[in-house]
Amino acid sequence: MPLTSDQLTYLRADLQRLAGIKYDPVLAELLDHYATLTEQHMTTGLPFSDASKWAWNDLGQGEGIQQIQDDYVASVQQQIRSQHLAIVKSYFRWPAFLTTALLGMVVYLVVPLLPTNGVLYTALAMAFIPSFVVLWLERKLKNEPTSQRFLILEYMAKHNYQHVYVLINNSYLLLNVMSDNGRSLLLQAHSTFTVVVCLLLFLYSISFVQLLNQRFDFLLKTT
Amino acid sequence: MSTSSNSQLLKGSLSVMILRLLEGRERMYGYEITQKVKELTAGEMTITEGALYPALHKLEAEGLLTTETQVVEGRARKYYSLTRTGRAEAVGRIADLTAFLENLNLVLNLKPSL
Repeated sequence: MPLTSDQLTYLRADLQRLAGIKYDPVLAELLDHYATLTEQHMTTGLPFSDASKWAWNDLGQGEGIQQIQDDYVASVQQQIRSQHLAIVKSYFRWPAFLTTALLGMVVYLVVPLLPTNGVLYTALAMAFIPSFVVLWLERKLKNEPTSQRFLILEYMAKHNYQHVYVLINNSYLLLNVMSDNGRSLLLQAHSTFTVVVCLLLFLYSISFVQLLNQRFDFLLKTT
Repeated sequence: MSTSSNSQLLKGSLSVMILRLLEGRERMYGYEITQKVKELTAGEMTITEGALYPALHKLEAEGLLTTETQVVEGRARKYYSLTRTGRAEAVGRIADLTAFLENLNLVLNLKPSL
């Protein structure tokens, strides 16, 4: 006998409250399993309340169920890391390398034409692109903290904190500790260094934007 | 067979069992897989949900399984099926495990006098 929507709500609440299941794909899959087990116990004549207790026991109770979610989160995070690395690597592989080389050429031609502080502020603005992406994503996903995209946000936010920390320290060094002459020497006399840094910052920032558009294997595809 | 030794033995072969089960069917969902194993082994072997779902997710992440979700009786049911790569990989992994079990059998059946 199929469960009623109230009974399904009760089982869903068990998974959320007693096992701390919060990510939609895991919740949907475990709810189906829990409901099917409950239905099986009900076919033996047990009332819903007893059948669901037996089903909960069969399912491994809170701790066992939570482990399924932990494994799921670890798997998705692993996929996000691999995907991000693959995106960054792809910029240096054929045929995307052509675009990278072209971009490098443009940066190489433009950087020497800009004043020292112009180069510095442009580089900083590009370097903060991942921070803007994280802020935008935080606003967008604030009503869906259980979706898989939220895991991407967590990954990006974690990397962003490290990224911003390095940026602030280096910016402080360039703007406050170094003299104008020192900055000019570093950014213009060593223009190859500046071009490489600007190009890498740009590619790194773009990789975050590209990561957002990736699909991961655990997305639910409702047919 | 005790449950603990059963689960230890299952650990290494669970993914192959899943691939084998899916080889013969178009698609299966989690509960169905646990029941099929129970049925095939007359209840001697049980797959816990804590072992099954991480294994399914891992195979999915490796690109060996694909999923589709259908709403059945008011809830979403996730069906797993083999991808083209998964089908090829299943053949190889089953052959490897079969060869391993044959060799294991030879060792286990060794006469004490030898």
